[in-house]
Amino acid sequence: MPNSTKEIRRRIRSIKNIGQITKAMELVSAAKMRKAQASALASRPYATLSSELLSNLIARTNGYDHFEQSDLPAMPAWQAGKSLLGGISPVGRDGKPSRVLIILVSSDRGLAGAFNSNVVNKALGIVKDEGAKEVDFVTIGKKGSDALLRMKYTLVATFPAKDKNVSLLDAEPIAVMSMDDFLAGKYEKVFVVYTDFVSTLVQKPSMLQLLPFVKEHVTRNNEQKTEFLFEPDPKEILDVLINRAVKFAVYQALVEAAASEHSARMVAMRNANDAAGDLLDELSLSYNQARQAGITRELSEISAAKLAMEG
Amino acid sequence: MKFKIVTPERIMVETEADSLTLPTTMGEITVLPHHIPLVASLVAGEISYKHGGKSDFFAVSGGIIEVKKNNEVVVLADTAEFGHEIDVERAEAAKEAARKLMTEGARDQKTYAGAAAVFQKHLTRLKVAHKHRSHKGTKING
Repeated sequence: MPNSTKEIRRRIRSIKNIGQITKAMELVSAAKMRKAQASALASRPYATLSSELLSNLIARTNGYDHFEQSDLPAMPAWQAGKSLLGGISPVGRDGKPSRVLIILVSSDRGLAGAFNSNVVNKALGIVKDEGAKEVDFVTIGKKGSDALLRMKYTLVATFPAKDKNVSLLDAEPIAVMSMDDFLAGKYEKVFVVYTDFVSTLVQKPSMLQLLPFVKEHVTRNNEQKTEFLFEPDPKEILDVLINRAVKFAVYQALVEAAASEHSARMVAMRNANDAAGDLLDELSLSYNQARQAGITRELSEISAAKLAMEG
Repeated sequence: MKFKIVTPERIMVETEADSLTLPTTMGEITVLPHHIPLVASLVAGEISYKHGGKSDFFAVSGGIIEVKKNNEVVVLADTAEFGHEIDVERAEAAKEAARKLMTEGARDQKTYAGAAAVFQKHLTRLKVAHKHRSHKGTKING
């Protein structure tokens, strides 16, 4: 507890300044959060519709098993689609993949509470669970890559975080890169680790298996099957659709992460504001006490001096 | 029939339509009410629809169209824009950049194909933007 009034005044001033900054950051994050939340919500109709169509198609084509092997060799694109669904290189003997790629979505800037450390910890947990011999990372956001580099993990690519106006174009290079590497047999599994936006107060670090494209992505509720006419044909449509679904999954992770980041930062800044308020109350109390003590002391000094002079 | 265009970023259009013309990989098709269920992939081009004597059109850069059996058409587009949303200057610049890459920079087939797709996309956007300017009177919304 500082005791000279001058020192207390200085502390009050600096806390007020910091409070102003956190207040401003809270307002900025709140505005960005609203936009990011809106775009996270806006992507959901597409998600529902495309997974509906995909499940329909997979049911219809039986995830490719439906076709004769003899159809395959002439169609590299179609084989690519099959592989995206099923995986090419079988998972190792002990059921553990040997090479895994993890796409980690973090932020470029800090001051967002535990946002970045939570998502990094989630990724490390997956590294442990999968028990893969080699793990490569692709990071989005500076904070994630800094943390992983400190722990000496291999980063194959890093992208800057995009915290506003995320578009499908931002997801495309990431998705294309992981699909290419996956199809080339470089990785047996590809995961996306990101922060799922639940509400302003709750964000959940989550993991999504991007490749092989698991069918859990696909809702299985619509049992009534429509006999569709496919142009050009079901295989090619399925390829196109899976390709898009992978890109879209990456996009959705980016959008959710952006909404979560701003929410987390807004909450962190609100906490900082509250703490600054508490601290100010406490300090002004002790400032007033110190001031009063000073006055009392001066008074008693004056009256003591007067007494001495009279005496 | 019901008709909607959904992109990852938004639901762009949700409306009734009497006829609908789309660019698919197999060529341009027109969908009328009670079309049989169809799934087709789209290429970059222009989607237009008519409803009660009025018409409107959009630029899309590719996607999937699904005609459902309950007289409902869903377009899952990668990107879709109204004519008035397109920034003509930037589209022109992007088109030129893609053309340059196609004629000079393409070292392999993949880059060339990529550049050609981008070129096609911006070409359509420009077409739709210009059409929008000359058609202002007949639009339904936007």
